[in-house]
Amino acid sequence: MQGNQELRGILRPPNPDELKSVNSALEGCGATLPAGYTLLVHELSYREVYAFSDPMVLRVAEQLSVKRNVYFAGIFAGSFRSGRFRLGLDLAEHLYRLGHLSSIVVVGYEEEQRFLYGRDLEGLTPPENLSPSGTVVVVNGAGDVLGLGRYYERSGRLVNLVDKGWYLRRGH
Amino acid sequence: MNKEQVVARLVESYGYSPFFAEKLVGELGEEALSAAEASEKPLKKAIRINTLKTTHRELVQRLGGKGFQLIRIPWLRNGYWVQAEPDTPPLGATHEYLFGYYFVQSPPSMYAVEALDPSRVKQSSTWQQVRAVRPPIYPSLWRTGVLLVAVEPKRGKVAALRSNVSRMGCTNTVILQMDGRSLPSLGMVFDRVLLDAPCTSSGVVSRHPTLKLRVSAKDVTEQQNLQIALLEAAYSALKVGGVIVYSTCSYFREEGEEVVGRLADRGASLTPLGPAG
Repeated sequence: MQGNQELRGILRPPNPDELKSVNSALEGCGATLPAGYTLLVHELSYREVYAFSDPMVLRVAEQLSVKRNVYFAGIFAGSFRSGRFRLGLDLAEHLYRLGHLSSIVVVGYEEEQRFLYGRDLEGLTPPENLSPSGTVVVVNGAGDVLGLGRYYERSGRLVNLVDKGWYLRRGH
Repeated sequence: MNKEQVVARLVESYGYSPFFAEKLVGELGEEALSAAEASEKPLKKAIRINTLKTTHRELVQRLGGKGFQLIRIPWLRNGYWVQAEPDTPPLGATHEYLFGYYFVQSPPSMYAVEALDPSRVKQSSTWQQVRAVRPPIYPSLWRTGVLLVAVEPKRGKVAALRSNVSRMGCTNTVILQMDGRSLPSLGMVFDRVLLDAPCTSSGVVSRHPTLKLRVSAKDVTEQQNLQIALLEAAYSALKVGGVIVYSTCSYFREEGEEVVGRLADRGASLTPLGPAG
Protein backbone atom coordinates (compact mmCIF):
# COMPACT_ATOMS: atom_id res chain seq x y z
CA MET A 1 0.00 0.00 0.00
CA GLN A 2 1.46 3.37 -0.99
CA GLY A 3 1.58 6.29 1.44
CA ASN A 4 -0.94 9.09 1.09
CA GLN A 5 0.64 11.81 -1.10
CA GLU A 6 -1.48 14.60 0.38
CA LEU A 7 -0.39 13.73 3.88
CA ARG A 8 3.28 13.15 2.98
CA GLY A 9 5.51 14.14 5.89
CA ILE A 10 2.65 14.50 8.37
CA LEU A 11 2.56 12.66 11.68
CA ARG A 12 -0.96 11.47 12.43
CA PRO A 13 -2.70 9.02 14.77
CA PRO A 14 -3.04 5.51 13.35
CA ASN A 15 -6.39 4.52 11.87
CA PRO A 16 -8.20 1.50 13.39
CA ASP A 17 -6.76 -0.94 10.83
CA GLU A 18 -3.21 0.29 11.41
CA LEU A 19 -3.65 0.13 15.15
CA LYS A 20 -4.94 -3.42 14.86
CA SER A 21 -1.88 -4.41 12.80
CA VAL A 22 0.53 -2.84 15.29
CA ASN A 23 -1.19 -4.46 18.27
CA SER A 24 -1.21 -7.78 16.50
CA ALA A 25 2.56 -7.52 15.85
CA LEU A 26 3.16 -6.64 19.48
CA GLU A 27 1.06 -9.55 20.66
CA GLY A 28 3.00 -11.69 18.20
CA CYS A 29 6.11 -11.33 20.33
CA GLY A 30 4.40 -11.26 23.67
CA ALA A 31 4.65 -7.52 24.02
CA THR A 32 2.35 -4.83 25.31
CA LEU A 33 2.64 -1.09 25.03
CA PRO A 34 2.73 0.44 28.52
CA ALA A 35 -0.02 2.83 29.55
CA GLY A 36 0.67 6.40 28.51
CA TYR A 37 2.49 5.49 25.29
CA THR A 38 1.11 6.93 22.07
CA LEU A 39 1.65 5.90 18.47
CA LEU A 40 1.84 8.18 15.45
CA VAL A 41 2.09 7.24 11.78
CA HIS A 42 4.58 9.10 9.59
CA GLU A 43 3.39 9.32 6.02
CA LEU A 44 6.30 8.78 3.65
CA SER A 45 6.54 6.84 0.40
CA TYR A 46 5.68 4.10 2.88
CA ARG A 47 4.35 4.46 6.43
CA GLU A 48 6.53 4.44 9.53
CA VAL A 49 5.18 4.23 13.06
CA TYR A 50 6.74 6.00 16.01
CA ALA A 51 5.99 5.45 19.69
CA PHE A 52 6.11 8.25 22.24
CA SER A 53 6.54 7.78 25.95
CA ASP A 54 6.66 11.49 26.70
CA PRO A 55 3.60 13.67 25.95
CA MET A 56 5.77 16.72 25.30
CA VAL A 57 7.81 14.96 22.60
CA LEU A 58 4.58 13.68 21.09
CA ARG A 59 2.99 17.12 20.98
CA VAL A 60 6.01 18.88 19.54
CA ALA A 61 6.60 16.19 16.90
CA GLU A 62 2.98 16.32 15.82
CA GLN A 63 2.95 20.09 15.58
CA LEU A 64 6.30 20.35 13.82
CA SER A 65 5.24 17.78 11.26
CA VAL A 66 2.83 20.35 9.82
CA LYS A 67 5.91 21.86 8.14
CA ARG A 68 6.67 18.40 6.73
CA ASN A 69 10.33 18.34 7.64
CA VAL A 70 10.23 15.88 10.51
CA TYR A 71 12.66 13.11 9.63
CA PHE A 72 12.21 10.99 12.72
CA ALA A 73 10.76 11.28 16.22
CA GLY A 74 10.36 9.27 19.41
CA ILE A 75 10.94 5.53 19.23
CA PHE A 76 10.89 3.65 15.93
CA ALA A 77 7.99 1.22 16.32
CA GLY A 78 8.02 -0.30 12.85
CA SER A 79 6.83 0.26 9.31
CA PHE A 80 4.16 -0.80 6.88
CA ARG A 81 5.66 -2.41 3.80
CA SER A 82 3.39 -3.93 1.17
CA GLY A 83 0.51 -3.38 3.55
CA ARG A 84 2.03 -5.47 6.36
CA PHE A 85 3.32 -4.05 9.59
CA ARG A 86 6.83 -5.06 10.62
CA LEU A 87 7.78 -4.45 14.21
CA GLY A 88 10.87 -2.25 14.66
CA LEU A 89 13.84 -3.32 16.74
CA ASP A 90 13.94 -0.03 18.67
CA LEU A 91 10.50 -0.47 20.19
CA ALA A 92 11.06 -4.20 20.75
CA GLU A 93 14.27 -3.47 22.67
CA HIS A 94 12.60 -0.66 24.59
CA LEU A 95 9.76 -2.96 25.68
CA TYR A 96 12.19 -5.79 26.50
CA ARG A 97 14.15 -3.45 28.77
CA LEU A 98 10.92 -2.36 30.47
CA GLY A 99 9.93 -5.99 31.00
CA HIS A 100 6.95 -5.61 28.66
CA LEU A 101 8.05 -8.27 26.17
CA SER A 102 8.16 -11.97 26.92
CA SER A 103 9.06 -13.77 23.70
CA ILE A 104 12.84 -14.01 24.03
CA VAL A 105 15.54 -16.36 22.84
CA VAL A 106 18.96 -16.41 24.49
CA VAL A 107 21.94 -17.40 22.36
CA GLY A 108 25.59 -18.21 23.07
CA TYR A 109 28.65 -16.27 21.91
CA GLU A 110 29.18 -18.11 18.61
CA GLU A 111 25.52 -17.71 17.68
CA GLU A 112 25.75 -14.05 18.71
CA GLN A 113 28.62 -13.52 16.26
CA ARG A 114 26.73 -15.17 13.42
CA PHE A 115 23.45 -13.42 14.15
CA LEU A 116 25.14 -10.00 14.20
CA TYR A 117 26.50 -10.80 10.73
CA GLY A 118 22.91 -11.08 9.55
CA ARG A 119 22.80 -14.87 9.48
CA ASP A 120 20.05 -17.27 10.53
CA LEU A 121 20.72 -19.71 13.36
CA GLU A 122 20.09 -23.45 13.45
CA GLY A 123 19.55 -26.07 16.08
CA LEU A 124 18.45 -23.84 18.92
CA THR A 125 16.50 -25.20 21.84
CA PRO A 126 12.93 -23.87 21.90
CA PRO A 127 12.65 -20.65 23.84
CA GLU A 128 10.30 -20.32 26.77
CA ASN A 129 7.23 -18.13 26.32
CA LEU A 130 7.38 -18.50 22.55
CA SER A 131 4.55 -16.51 21.01
CA PRO A 132 2.30 -18.12 18.39
CA SER A 133 3.89 -16.06 15.59
CA GLY A 134 7.36 -17.20 16.62
CA THR A 135 8.69 -13.63 16.67
CA VAL A 136 11.38 -13.31 19.32
CA VAL A 137 13.82 -10.75 20.66
CA VAL A 138 17.27 -12.33 20.41
CA VAL A 139 19.55 -11.62 23.36
CA ASN A 140 22.93 -12.90 24.52
CA GLY A 141 23.77 -14.28 27.94
CA ALA A 142 24.43 -10.82 29.32
CA GLY A 143 20.98 -9.65 28.25
CA ASP A 144 22.19 -7.45 25.39
CA VAL A 145 19.63 -7.21 22.60
CA LEU A 146 21.04 -8.54 19.31
CA GLY A 147 17.98 -8.26 17.09
CA LEU A 148 14.64 -9.70 16.14
CA GLY A 149 14.06 -13.17 14.72
CA ARG A 150 11.38 -15.67 13.89
CA TYR A 151 11.75 -19.05 15.50
CA TYR A 152 10.39 -22.16 13.77
CA GLU A 153 9.72 -24.82 16.38
CA ARG A 154 9.71 -27.79 14.02
CA SER A 155 13.12 -27.10 12.54
CA GLY A 156 14.68 -25.24 15.46
CA ARG A 157 15.68 -22.55 12.96
CA LEU A 158 15.86 -18.88 13.93
CA VAL A 159 15.42 -16.61 10.94
CA ASN A 160 17.14 -13.26 11.28
CA LEU A 161 14.60 -10.46 10.75
CA VAL A 162 16.82 -7.58 11.82
CA ASP A 163 20.01 -7.39 13.86
CA LYS A 164 22.29 -4.72 15.29
CA GLY A 165 25.07 -5.45 12.81
CA TRP A 166 22.81 -3.57 10.42
CA TYR A 167 24.24 -0.28 11.68
CA LEU A 168 27.69 -1.25 10.42
CA ARG A 169 26.52 -2.93 7.24
CA ARG A 170 24.60 0.21 6.38
CA GLY A 171 27.74 2.25 6.83
CA HIS A 172 26.77 4.34 9.85
CA MET B 1 62.20 32.73 14.08
CA ASN B 2 60.29 35.61 12.52
CA LYS B 3 56.81 35.34 11.01
CA GLU B 4 58.03 34.89 7.44
CA GLN B 5 60.36 32.10 8.48
CA VAL B 6 57.60 30.25 10.33
CA VAL B 7 55.31 30.57 7.30
CA ALA B 8 58.06 29.28 5.01
CA ARG B 9 58.68 26.33 7.32
CA LEU B 10 54.97 25.44 7.37
CA VAL B 11 54.87 25.56 3.57
CA GLU B 12 58.12 23.70 2.94
CA SER B 13 58.21 21.15 5.75
CA TYR B 14 54.54 20.52 6.43
CA GLY B 15 52.92 21.11 3.04
CA TYR B 16 50.56 23.97 3.92
CA SER B 17 49.47 26.44 1.28
CA PRO B 18 50.92 29.93 1.77
CA PHE B 19 47.39 31.19 2.56
CA PHE B 20 46.77 28.58 5.28
CA ALA B 21 50.29 28.98 6.69
CA GLU B 22 49.92 32.74 7.00
CA LYS B 23 46.53 32.42 8.68
CA LEU B 24 47.86 29.85 11.11
CA VAL B 25 50.85 31.99 12.03
CA GLY B 26 48.56 35.00 12.33
CA GLU B 27 46.52 33.11 14.93
CA LEU B 28 49.18 31.18 16.76
CA GLY B 29 52.52 32.89 16.08
CA GLU B 30 55.48 30.57 16.45
CA GLU B 31 53.23 28.00 18.13
CA ALA B 32 51.88 27.28 14.64
CA LEU B 33 54.87 24.98 14.21
CA SER B 34 53.91 22.93 17.27
CA ALA B 35 50.32 22.80 16.01
CA ALA B 36 51.51 21.64 12.60
CA GLU B 37 53.76 19.01 14.17
CA ALA B 38 50.90 17.75 16.35
CA SER B 39 48.64 17.59 13.29
CA GLU B 40 51.02 15.17 11.61
CA LYS B 41 50.02 12.50 14.10
CA PRO B 42 46.64 10.78 14.17
CA LEU B 43 44.27 12.02 16.84
CA LYS B 44 44.22 10.00 20.02
CA LYS B 45 41.03 7.96 20.10
CA ALA B 46 38.37 8.58 22.69
CA ILE B 47 34.90 7.29 23.50
CA ARG B 48 31.88 8.66 25.25
CA ILE B 49 29.97 6.18 27.40
CA ASN B 50 26.22 6.07 26.83
CA THR B 51 24.89 6.10 30.35
CA LEU B 52 21.38 5.50 29.05
CA LYS B 53 22.35 1.91 28.32
CA THR B 54 25.34 0.99 30.44
CA THR B 55 27.55 2.10 33.29
CA HIS B 56 31.18 3.21 33.34
CA ARG B 57 32.20 0.20 35.35
CA GLU B 58 30.46 -2.33 33.14
CA LEU B 59 31.76 -0.92 29.87
CA VAL B 60 35.33 -0.49 31.07
CA GLN B 61 35.26 -4.10 32.24
CA ARG B 62 33.74 -5.45 29.03
CA LEU B 63 36.03 -3.57 26.69
CA GLY B 64 38.97 -4.36 28.95
CA GLY B 65 38.18 -8.03 28.47
CA LYS B 66 38.59 -7.52 24.73
CA GLY B 67 41.97 -5.83 25.05
CA PHE B 68 40.94 -2.16 25.13
CA GLN B 69 42.60 -0.07 27.78
CA LEU B 70 40.49 2.93 28.74
CA ILE B 71 41.70 5.88 30.78
CA ARG B 72 39.16 8.30 32.22
CA ILE B 73 39.42 11.83 30.82
CA PRO B 74 39.39 13.78 34.07
CA TRP B 75 37.68 16.89 32.73
CA LEU B 76 34.75 15.05 31.11
CA ARG B 77 31.85 13.27 32.78
CA ASN B 78 31.63 10.33 30.39
CA GLY B 79 34.81 10.47 28.30
CA TYR B 80 37.64 7.96 28.11
CA TRP B 81 40.91 7.91 26.19
CA VAL B 82 41.54 4.66 24.37
CA GLN B 83 45.06 4.04 25.57
CA ALA B 84 45.52 0.66 23.91
CA GLU B 85 43.39 -1.46 21.60
CA PRO B 86 43.59 -4.93 20.12
CA ASP B 87 44.15 -5.66 16.40
CA THR B 88 40.59 -6.86 16.26
CA PRO B 89 37.78 -5.96 16.72
CA PRO B 90 38.15 -2.31 15.70
CA LEU B 91 36.82 0.27 18.15
CA GLY B 92 33.90 1.06 15.84
CA ALA B 93 32.83 -2.55 15.37
CA THR B 94 32.71 -4.20 18.78
CA HIS B 95 29.43 -5.70 19.87
CA GLU B 96 29.28 -3.05 22.60
CA TYR B 97 29.49 -0.40 19.89
CA LEU B 98 26.65 -2.04 17.98
CA PHE B 99 24.59 -2.20 21.17
CA GLY B 100 24.99 1.57 21.58
CA TYR B 101 27.00 1.43 24.79
CA TYR B 102 29.45 4.04 23.56
CA PHE B 103 30.10 6.54 20.83
CA VAL B 104 33.52 7.18 19.28
CA GLN B 105 33.93 10.91 19.71
CA SER B 106 36.72 13.44 20.15
CA PRO B 107 37.01 15.06 23.60
CA PRO B 108 36.41 18.59 22.26
CA SER B 109 33.06 17.44 20.87
CA MET B 110 32.17 15.96 24.25
CA TYR B 111 33.30 19.16 25.94
CA ALA B 112 30.92 21.26 23.84
CA VAL B 113 27.98 19.35 25.34
CA GLU B 114 29.26 19.71 28.87
CA ALA B 115 29.60 23.43 28.26
CA LEU B 116 25.94 23.43 27.28
CA ASP B 117 25.26 21.99 30.75
CA PRO B 118 22.01 20.24 29.89
CA SER B 119 21.64 18.98 33.46
CA ARG B 120 20.59 22.45 34.49
CA VAL B 121 17.62 22.58 32.16
CA LYS B 122 14.49 22.44 34.30
CA GLN B 123 12.20 19.52 33.65
CA SER B 124 8.93 20.77 32.35
CA SER B 125 6.11 19.88 30.06
CA THR B 126 5.84 23.23 28.35
CA TRP B 127 6.57 23.97 24.74
CA GLN B 128 9.47 26.18 25.64
CA GLN B 129 11.58 23.48 27.27
CA VAL B 130 13.29 22.33 24.13
CA ARG B 131 16.71 22.61 22.66
CA ALA B 132 18.18 22.36 19.22
CA VAL B 133 21.43 20.72 18.29
CA ARG B 134 23.21 19.41 15.30
CA PRO B 135 24.83 15.98 15.26
CA PRO B 136 26.80 14.16 16.58
CA ILE B 137 24.35 13.11 19.21
CA TYR B 138 24.65 13.46 22.93
CA PRO B 139 22.78 10.74 24.78
CA SER B 140 23.07 12.28 28.21
CA LEU B 141 20.71 15.01 27.03
CA TRP B 142 17.86 12.54 26.85
CA ARG B 143 15.64 12.18 29.85
CA THR B 144 11.96 12.38 30.55
CA GLY B 145 10.48 15.84 30.41
CA VAL B 146 13.22 17.18 28.18
CA LEU B 147 12.92 17.33 24.44
CA LEU B 148 15.83 17.55 22.04
CA VAL B 149 15.27 18.91 18.57
CA ALA B 150 18.11 17.99 16.20
CA VAL B 151 18.43 19.96 12.99
CA GLU B 152 20.46 18.78 10.00
CA PRO B 153 19.98 19.77 6.37
CA LYS B 154 21.93 17.05 4.56
CA ARG B 155 20.18 13.80 3.73
CA GLY B 156 23.20 11.57 4.28
CA LYS B 157 24.00 13.11 7.64
CA VAL B 158 20.42 13.10 8.84
CA ALA B 159 20.19 9.37 8.06
CA ALA B 160 23.37 8.73 10.06
CA LEU B 161 21.99 10.83 12.90
CA ARG B 162 18.83 8.76 12.96
CA SER B 163 20.85 5.55 13.09
CA ASN B 164 22.84 6.87 16.02
CA VAL B 165 19.71 8.00 17.86
CA SER B 166 18.29 4.49 17.42
CA ARG B 167 21.50 2.74 18.42
CA MET B 168 21.87 4.85 21.54
CA GLY B 169 18.31 4.20 22.65
CA CYS B 170 17.34 7.87 22.74
CA THR B 171 13.59 8.35 22.92
CA ASN B 172 13.00 12.07 23.44
CA THR B 173 14.23 13.47 20.18
CA VAL B 174 12.71 14.98 17.09
CA ILE B 175 14.99 15.11 14.05
CA LEU B 176 14.24 17.77 11.47
CA GLN B 177 15.75 17.78 8.03
CA MET B 178 16.03 21.50 7.48
CA ASP B 179 18.44 24.39 7.23
CA GLY B 180 19.29 25.70 10.68
CA ARG B 181 18.93 29.24 9.33
CA SER B 182 15.16 28.61 9.31
CA LEU B 183 15.05 27.74 13.01
CA PRO B 184 12.98 30.83 13.97
CA SER B 185 10.30 29.78 11.47
CA LEU B 186 9.45 26.85 13.76
CA GLY B 187 7.89 29.29 16.18
CA MET B 188 9.62 27.60 19.11
CA VAL B 189 11.72 28.99 21.92
CA PHE B 190 14.68 26.95 23.15
CA ASP B 191 16.36 26.81 26.54
CA ARG B 192 19.68 25.75 25.09
CA VAL B 193 21.13 25.61 21.63
CA LEU B 194 24.29 23.82 20.65
CA LEU B 195 25.42 25.18 17.32
CA ASP B 196 27.99 22.77 15.96
CA ALA B 197 28.58 24.99 12.98
CA PRO B 198 29.96 23.91 9.61
CA CYS B 199 33.47 25.32 9.21
CA THR B 200 36.69 25.09 7.21
CA SER B 201 37.88 22.35 9.62
CA SER B 202 41.25 24.04 9.82
CA GLY B 203 41.70 22.64 13.32
CA VAL B 204 41.45 19.01 12.28
CA VAL B 205 44.12 18.79 9.61
CA SER B 206 45.33 15.58 11.21
CA ARG B 207 42.05 13.97 10.11
CA HIS B 208 41.89 15.68 6.72
CA PRO B 209 45.47 16.38 5.54
CA THR B 210 44.34 17.60 2.11
CA LEU B 211 42.88 20.67 3.83
CA LYS B 212 46.42 22.04 4.11
CA LEU B 213 46.23 22.89 0.45
CA ARG B 214 42.49 23.18 -0.07
CA VAL B 215 41.33 25.83 2.40
CA SER B 216 41.04 29.16 0.63
CA ALA B 217 40.09 32.73 1.51
CA LYS B 218 36.83 32.15 -0.31
CA ASP B 219 36.05 29.13 1.92
CA VAL B 220 36.67 31.16 5.05
CA THR B 221 34.36 33.94 3.89
CA GLU B 222 31.64 31.54 2.81
CA GLN B 223 31.77 29.59 6.04
CA GLN B 224 31.78 32.77 8.10
CA ASN B 225 28.66 34.05 6.34
CA LEU B 226 26.90 30.76 6.98
CA GLN B 227 28.05 30.66 10.60
CA ILE B 228 26.79 34.19 11.26
CA ALA B 229 23.42 33.37 9.72
CA LEU B 230 23.12 30.16 11.77
CA LEU B 231 24.12 31.89 14.99
CA GLU B 232 21.66 34.72 14.43
CA ALA B 233 18.91 32.19 13.77
CA ALA B 234 19.81 30.30 16.94
CA TYR B 235 19.84 33.51 18.94
CA SER B 236 16.43 34.49 17.60
CA ALA B 237 15.02 31.15 18.74
CA LEU B 238 16.62 31.31 22.20
CA LYS B 239 14.58 32.17 25.25
CA VAL B 240 15.60 35.16 27.34
CA GLY B 241 18.27 33.91 29.73
CA GLY B 242 18.97 30.88 27.54
CA VAL B 243 22.38 29.55 26.55
CA ILE B 244 23.99 28.99 23.16
CA VAL B 245 27.20 27.04 22.82
CA TYR B 246 28.91 27.88 19.56
CA SER B 247 31.41 25.28 18.43
CA THR B 248 33.63 24.83 15.39
CA CYS B 249 36.82 22.93 14.64
CA SER B 250 38.64 25.87 13.12
CA TYR B 251 41.63 27.88 14.30
CA PHE B 252 40.54 30.96 12.41
CA ARG B 253 39.32 34.06 14.20
CA GLU B 254 36.90 34.76 11.33
CA GLU B 255 35.03 31.56 12.23
CA GLY B 256 35.22 32.03 15.98
CA GLU B 257 35.58 35.34 17.75
CA GLU B 258 34.37 37.39 14.79
CA VAL B 259 31.20 35.31 14.50
CA VAL B 260 30.22 35.34 18.16
CA GLY B 261 31.18 39.00 18.36
CA ARG B 262 28.06 39.71 16.31
CA LEU B 263 25.92 38.57 19.23
CA ALA B 264 27.64 40.97 21.59
CA ASP B 265 26.39 43.75 19.32
CA ARG B 266 22.88 42.43 19.98
CA GLY B 267 23.33 42.48 23.75
CA ALA B 268 24.35 38.87 24.37
CA SER B 269 26.74 38.13 27.18
CA LEU B 270 29.73 36.10 25.94
CA THR B 271 31.71 33.66 28.03
CA PRO B 272 34.86 32.20 26.46
CA LEU B 273 35.21 28.64 27.68
CA GLY B 274 38.96 28.43 27.36
CA PRO B 275 40.89 25.21 27.25
CA ALA B 276 39.16 22.20 28.74
CA GLY B 277 40.43 20.86 32.00
